[in-house]
Amino acid sequence: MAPVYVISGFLDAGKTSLINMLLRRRISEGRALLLIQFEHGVEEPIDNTPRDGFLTLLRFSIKEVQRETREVAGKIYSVLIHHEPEEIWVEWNGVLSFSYLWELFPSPSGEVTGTLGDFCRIEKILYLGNGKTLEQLVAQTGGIQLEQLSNSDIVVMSNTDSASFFRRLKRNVRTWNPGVKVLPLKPLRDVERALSRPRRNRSLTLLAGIGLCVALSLMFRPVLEGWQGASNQLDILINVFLGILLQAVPFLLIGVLLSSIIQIFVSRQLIERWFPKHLAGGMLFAILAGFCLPVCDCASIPVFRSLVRKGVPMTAAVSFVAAAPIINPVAILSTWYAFNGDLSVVLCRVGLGTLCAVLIGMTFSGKASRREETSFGAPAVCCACGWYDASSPGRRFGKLFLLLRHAKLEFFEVGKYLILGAFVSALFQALYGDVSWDGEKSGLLIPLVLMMGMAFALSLCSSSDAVVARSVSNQFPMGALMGFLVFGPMMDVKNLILLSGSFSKPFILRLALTMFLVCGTVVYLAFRLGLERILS
Amino acid sequence: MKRNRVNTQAVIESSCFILFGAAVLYLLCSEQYLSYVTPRMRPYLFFTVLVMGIWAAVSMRDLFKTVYRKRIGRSLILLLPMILLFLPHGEMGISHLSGSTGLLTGSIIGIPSSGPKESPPSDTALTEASEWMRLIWPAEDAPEQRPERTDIYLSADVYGEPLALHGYDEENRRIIVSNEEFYQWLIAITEHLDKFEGYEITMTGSVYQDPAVFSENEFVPARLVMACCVADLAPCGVVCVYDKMDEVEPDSWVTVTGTLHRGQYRGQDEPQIHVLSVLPAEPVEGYLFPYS
Repeated sequence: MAPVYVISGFLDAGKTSLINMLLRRRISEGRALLLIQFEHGVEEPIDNTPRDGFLTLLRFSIKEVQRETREVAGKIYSVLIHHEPEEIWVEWNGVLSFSYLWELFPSPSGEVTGTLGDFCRIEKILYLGNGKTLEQLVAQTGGIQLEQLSNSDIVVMSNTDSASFFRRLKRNVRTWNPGVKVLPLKPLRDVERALSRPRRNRSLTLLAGIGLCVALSLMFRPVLEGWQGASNQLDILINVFLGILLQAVPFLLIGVLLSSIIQIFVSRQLIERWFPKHLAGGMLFAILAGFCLPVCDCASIPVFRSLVRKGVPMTAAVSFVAAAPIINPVAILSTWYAFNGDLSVVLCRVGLGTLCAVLIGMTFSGKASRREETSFGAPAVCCACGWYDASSPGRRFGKLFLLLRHAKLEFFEVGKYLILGAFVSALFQALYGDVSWDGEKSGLLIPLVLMMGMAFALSLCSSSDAVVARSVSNQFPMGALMGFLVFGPMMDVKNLILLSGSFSKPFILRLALTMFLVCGTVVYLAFRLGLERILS
Repeated sequence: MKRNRVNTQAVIESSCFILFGAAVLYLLCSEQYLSYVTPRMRPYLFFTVLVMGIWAAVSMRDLFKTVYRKRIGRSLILLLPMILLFLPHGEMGISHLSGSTGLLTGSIIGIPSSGPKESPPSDTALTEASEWMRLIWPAEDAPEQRPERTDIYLSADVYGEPLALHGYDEENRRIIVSNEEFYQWLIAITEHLDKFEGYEITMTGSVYQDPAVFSENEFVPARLVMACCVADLAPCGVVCVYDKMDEVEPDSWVTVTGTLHRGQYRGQDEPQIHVLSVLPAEPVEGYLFPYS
């Protein structure tokens, strides 16, 4: 079975010269190759004078492929029979849908079908893009570029000057094609290595790993039973993990559905036209939006993501993500219940939360934040959810299916970070459950920081953390509880990991630190200035 | 043209959705979800089952679609919780919390003036709650009003709504606390300590001792309270004073009978039981959910 290597990319990406570089060595090694070009490149392909090896060249125009797919397949078929090449290289046209590629090279089925699948199978698909223009290209032409990008095994970027530029590009490419290998064009050796690396079946490895863990834990369970501490910790780990997860998954689902509605039904133009240009207006919008969404922090993060992608200014988006989990109706009601109908606590939480959210948002009005915004420019138009998909239904319910599909993909994307976050948080509780604290007369600052730290580590759902705060209200001053109530929903281990799926590390770090400092300072000052007296 | 081969990604994805939805549905139907979250999550979990079903159907649509880059690994995020769910693990008990008078485990949730000793009462919130209750049910005038049945005591729940408590025998000054009303009685006793002082009380719980907080002759027959999810379980109960502590096995389930007294902790009043008898009891399944 001959391997098929597909090199794809937009018109002047430099596919032919990459193929020339790659093939030259292979031919000199004495291999018999077949090169199929589905376009005429700027550069001529390698000259066909036989050296040690042999290169057969086939050329088809786009029209031929589109109109006479079977005839094209037939021609390739006969060349394969006559020449029996060791490898087949395909220079795919950047404007030709991959659905033709699947039709030409169906995956081998193990029986003789009379198709190319009898002789060869697609081994690797490489997408070559110009780093300088890729994002713009995807934004403008969308469709087929995205289809090709999202189906590639390797994405190679030319024209990537700086490492930071390349990192940004890589992150964007991975939003279209999660987990894809992204490489700069040079050194070429890396590209060659990536092409020749056998396809790993990672999911099988993962499954085997999980199976092993399950078997081990079942085997050692009786041993652990004898050793109470460890068995207890395992119980806590599993229980807490499942507890956090069962609590968070429904809200995450609400979040991805809402965010998908924004993604599919709200256009970037709409936001540009209607979103308040003024800073204060944007803030007001963010706070109101936060108030209107009955969701917790797990849900607000996907929404935050799509807001940024749709071009909502960073100041407003950050204010939203900071405020939404605190000032939404669910959180307000649960605070009210938890504190036995004490309205002053509720008002205090909402007031301080809003104030902090606005202040945090303001710190994101600088240039650096704008860069983070623009780095999302391209995916804003479309994502890998099926916008590009030629077969996706344009019929009735088309948008509804797209919505469900997009939400599903987003769930997969964000879900893994939720799993990780829940696990880290559960691990923390299993190992360090014994934090004891005697909070009598030790001022405000230390308990405040401690409570905020606890809020961060525990990753409680913002729809019910008020109850937890209430439960420790005997040990901690009200100010510290307020820190817990205001900071906890904005940022915790779970949220941090959730965010890391789509934002750059420096940005997340900055967001977390700003949130911590602003919340801490605001709460501390408020209570130093006498808020305590009103509450007690 | 020949039909495409079955797309394994779609098969695995929809089976994972179906399995996950079925697992959640099973938890809901068997009420086992209460081991992890509070009853408040019930509608949300049904919503989850619904979305899983819809997504399974959406994935099914791609059953015969050619997909080159199959993403199978991502379905693991559904598989993983299910594996953990069916991996044998015990329900959390007092022994999982012992030794941690920690932030979220040491004190009683909701009512400020009872439970393990470290909780000095601050009655403001509770008073406000009952005031609020009077606003809403002016005629009720809460427990002071004499109920018609003598075996029922009228109290208020955590939200201040009227609540009838059973096992009450005013004539013989005796209260038998059922497992279902453990938490409600706890609130009633704490709130109306004056009335109940000298009553004989019987209640069942798991022995909770914490050398950091309790004296040598003290323990709490405690139950676990869940406020939000299993991550914040906290023991609650009435402190018992008992001289024959060597008869009490830590973490074991006991039924305690004794007389209610007014005790002191850090200068604050709290109810205490002077124990007459301690009998071994069957473990009581499940947690208490005061906020659902």
